Amino acid sequence: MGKSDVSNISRKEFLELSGIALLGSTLGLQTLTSCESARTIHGQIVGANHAIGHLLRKAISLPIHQSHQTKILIIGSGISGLTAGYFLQKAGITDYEILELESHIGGNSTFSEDEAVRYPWAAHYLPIPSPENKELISFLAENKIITGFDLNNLPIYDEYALCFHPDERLFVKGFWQEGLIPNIDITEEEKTQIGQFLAKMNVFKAAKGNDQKWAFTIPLANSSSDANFTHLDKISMKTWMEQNAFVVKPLQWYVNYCLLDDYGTSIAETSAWAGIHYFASRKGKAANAKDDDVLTWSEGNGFLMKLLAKNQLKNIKTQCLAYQIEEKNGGVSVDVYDWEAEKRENYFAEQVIWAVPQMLRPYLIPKQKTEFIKEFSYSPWMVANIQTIPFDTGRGQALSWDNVIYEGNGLGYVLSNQQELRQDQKTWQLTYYKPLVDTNPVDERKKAIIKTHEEWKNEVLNDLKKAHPKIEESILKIDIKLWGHAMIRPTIGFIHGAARHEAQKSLYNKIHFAHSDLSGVSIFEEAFYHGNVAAKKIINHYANSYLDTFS
Amino acid sequence: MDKSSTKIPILLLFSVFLVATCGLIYELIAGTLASYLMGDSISQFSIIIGLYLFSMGIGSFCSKYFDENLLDWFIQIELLVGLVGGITSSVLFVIFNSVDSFQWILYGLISLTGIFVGLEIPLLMQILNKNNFEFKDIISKVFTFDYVGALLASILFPLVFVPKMGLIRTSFFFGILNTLVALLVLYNYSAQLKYRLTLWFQAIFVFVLLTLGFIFSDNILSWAEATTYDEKIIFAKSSPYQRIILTRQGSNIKLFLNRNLQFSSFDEYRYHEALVHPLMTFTKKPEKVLILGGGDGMAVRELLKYENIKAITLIDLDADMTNLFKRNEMLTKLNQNALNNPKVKILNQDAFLWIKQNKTLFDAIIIDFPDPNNFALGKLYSNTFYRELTHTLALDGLMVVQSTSPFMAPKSYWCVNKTLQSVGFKTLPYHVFVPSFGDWGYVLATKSDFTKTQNFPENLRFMNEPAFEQSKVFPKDMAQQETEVNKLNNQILVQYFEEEWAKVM
Repeated sequence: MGKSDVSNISRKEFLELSGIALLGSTLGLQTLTSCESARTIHGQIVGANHAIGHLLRKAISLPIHQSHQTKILIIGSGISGLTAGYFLQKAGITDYEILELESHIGGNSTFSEDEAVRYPWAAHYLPIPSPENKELISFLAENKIITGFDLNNLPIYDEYALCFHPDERLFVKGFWQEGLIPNIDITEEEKTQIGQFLAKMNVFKAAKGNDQKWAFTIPLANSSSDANFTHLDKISMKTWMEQNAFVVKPLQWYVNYCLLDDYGTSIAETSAWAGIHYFASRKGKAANAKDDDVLTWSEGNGFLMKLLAKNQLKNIKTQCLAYQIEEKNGGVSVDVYDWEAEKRENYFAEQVIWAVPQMLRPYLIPKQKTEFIKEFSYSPWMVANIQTIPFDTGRGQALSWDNVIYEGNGLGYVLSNQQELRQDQKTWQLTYYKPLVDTNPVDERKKAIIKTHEEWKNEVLNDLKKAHPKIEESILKIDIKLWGHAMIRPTIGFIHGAARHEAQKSLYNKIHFAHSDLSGVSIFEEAFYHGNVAAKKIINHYANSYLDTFS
Repeated sequence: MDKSSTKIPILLLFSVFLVATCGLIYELIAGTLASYLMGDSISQFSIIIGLYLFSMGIGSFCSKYFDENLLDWFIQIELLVGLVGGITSSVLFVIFNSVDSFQWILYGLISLTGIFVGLEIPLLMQILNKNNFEFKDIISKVFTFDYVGALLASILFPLVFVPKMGLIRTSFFFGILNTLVALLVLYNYSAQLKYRLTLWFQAIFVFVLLTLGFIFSDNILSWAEATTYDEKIIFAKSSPYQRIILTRQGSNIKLFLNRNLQFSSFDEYRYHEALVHPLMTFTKKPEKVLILGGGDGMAVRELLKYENIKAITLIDLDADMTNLFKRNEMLTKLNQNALNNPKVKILNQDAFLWIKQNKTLFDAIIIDFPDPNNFALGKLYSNTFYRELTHTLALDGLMVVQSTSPFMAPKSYWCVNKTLQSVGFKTLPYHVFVPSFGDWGYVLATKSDFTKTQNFPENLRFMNEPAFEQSKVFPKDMAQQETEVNKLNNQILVQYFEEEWAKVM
């Protein structure tokens, strides 16, 4: 579809375009509209309330309003898109634009601000990175999250960003224990198996493959391709645990909890390689923190997102839906619908960075063969932000940053006030997470879309009441956000399968892919890595063509 | 009333009985409250009884001016007694901290109650007299019931009412009884009353008011709380940040914040002299001093003994605390009105947030926070906080940190010392004995050095050179020990503190 054919859109094409709407946006389920609960606890289902399908129908009936030329176009302003822009700028390339569908930037690092409180809507922490992750380390140092290096060259972290104590607690049998690994009232056998499992994970942590690379590391791309390890991708974590006699319930619960938390997939669906990667890949070291400490802020990773975005805000255009990408006249033509201005526009770029999920490829680049895309599946999530007045936090360990209920319905809640310094905190902000994993992602998305605020609210409350029977009295507000395609799912065979490798290949040497789904693991570090890799490809492209002029 | 009857109606005699009981109870409540709040129970009780009886005399005297509508007046007075008597103790309790001339309000309310009570019996006797009862009979019966009521009141008050209901509830309870007498008379003699409607309206209003007071009196002072303190509670208030309780036993006043003892007026001079003066002997040019915490103004009082200090800034989160110690006469006597001194600037702000943004340098800093018994307070003892303080302390400045008891909680104490050292401070640990607290520890810290610049003031009660020399010695049972550094991401001090105090509590 070129600039001229405005109205000659076939029915098939139209359906394909509408398919984007059915998938939801890259961020959420756009068809949801706000609704206010009439009960005592107020709140709403937040998120964009525009129906993309409707927008698209409008878009294709419009003539092209304006054409833009840009050297580089980045589609998506999540962490990967912003990182790509950040590295382009570092290399002195400023002629680029970033398009964002939503009215705000940040993707999974979205956060809200309510009077004095800030709270995340998804990603909320970054484990201290391995010193080998040089680019990330320098980004953190540049932004004073790393304040210096000690004599052993270990990073010294900003103490306000290191998660304050107490960081984790687990509600088991009426009591809050410290830490998330169950240790109250467990049998000797259970204790032994937990100990052996953790020891085994430490062996994997230290293991290297026959190519001398870490068996498991972050970024995942730097992990060894030694088949002794990669074959673990062919079975589920559950099967691997059974094969290794890790069968006791508290251990299985804990591992399942961790995988749901990081991947939104259960122990039965996650590949053993991905499951072990969770425990064995983090090799952080710091001068003033424990190896497993995390960096967090009240707005979660929104803090890092703002740092990435701060020097390129003028390059970002929000409320723009890219819906058609085509190689043309030695460049790339991108059709865009500006749903705020209700205008259809065209961008012509020399190079494009695709920083949105792969699942959108068949719809945006229909001319390319994309059989492998069906291997990419994403988990839907529900996140509730709950504002309360201080309440009785229960027996045992004091209110912590991460508060998890053993065998709870969700993943528990994170206290956004954790990093606050003030003595009195008049309200608390709890962010409650729940991956929707009862059936399969497609059905869960359909179920999620029709639930009312009241229904979600009750679901959240019923879970929290297990640990806090009277919490309802203290709640001021519950807001709900649904994420249709929150995280790529590292299911069996995905990480070391063909699709993920196929998806990373640039198209026409002009369209470069950058999104955490290319890793199969939806974490900040992977998005940062892929944004950087895509930017490097472009930087090299221009460096080479510059050199070519001399030869 | 049936004029031919020779028998005095039982209802009126019952009224006499209740009126007498209530009257004496109000007197006892006033006396008790006065000695709770102002101490010195002998003179307070003596003054209250005298004043009360004298006021009753005034009431009796005035009774002769009542000729018409006696029953109306009786009910009216009864309602007034109930209202004033019923609310006296809660009013006194609530205003105790906020008015300067507390005792005059106390005496005023007592006099008012006395006058009304003094009117009651003469009025009743007039009513009976007008209804042609035999005078001999009136005198005999009225005074019999009066004195029986008094006996009952004086026995029940200390044995039942104070322990079971507390002063505030008891006060409301008898106010309600008075009102019930009024209602009973009102109901039975409604036909003879001129201002029937007005009286009904008033009676119901007073009844509802007092009943609400009775129900919600826990909001003023919960009885459960009153029983947890050994001494009499003379002030209780929940500020937005903490529960402030003042107690008094004899002349000894104690301040509790969230149930933790902050000072006892009996020996607080030891604590505050040890907090302030060693620091001052080392400070080179003590012009600007910062106090963090210490809203009671006692540390300020000690600082004001140095004339070369030009400005004192006090950061205390709780405005209720600083206002209390600025306004209450009894407390300003303790801190010698230090908080109203023009050199003193009080900022009711969060210490951590204030320090983080502060750009002014101070020559000396006094840190007097509550003990690190929770994670919020633990942050104020962290290496991060002490590092922030290095930007607030002049290069050659000094600071002192109250650091809990090195005897009860040696690990906690030495952890504070270690944490200060970890951010580059030289430290000088010392400890003194404060009977109310036990053996108490402080740590002096500086980035410069500890060189004596002046002697201890002459007019101190506790601290002098030999006493300070001695305080630097740590016997074997509180000797320095290895600890970790307290950080925001380990809060190790709170853990030490909990473990150590759990052993002794």
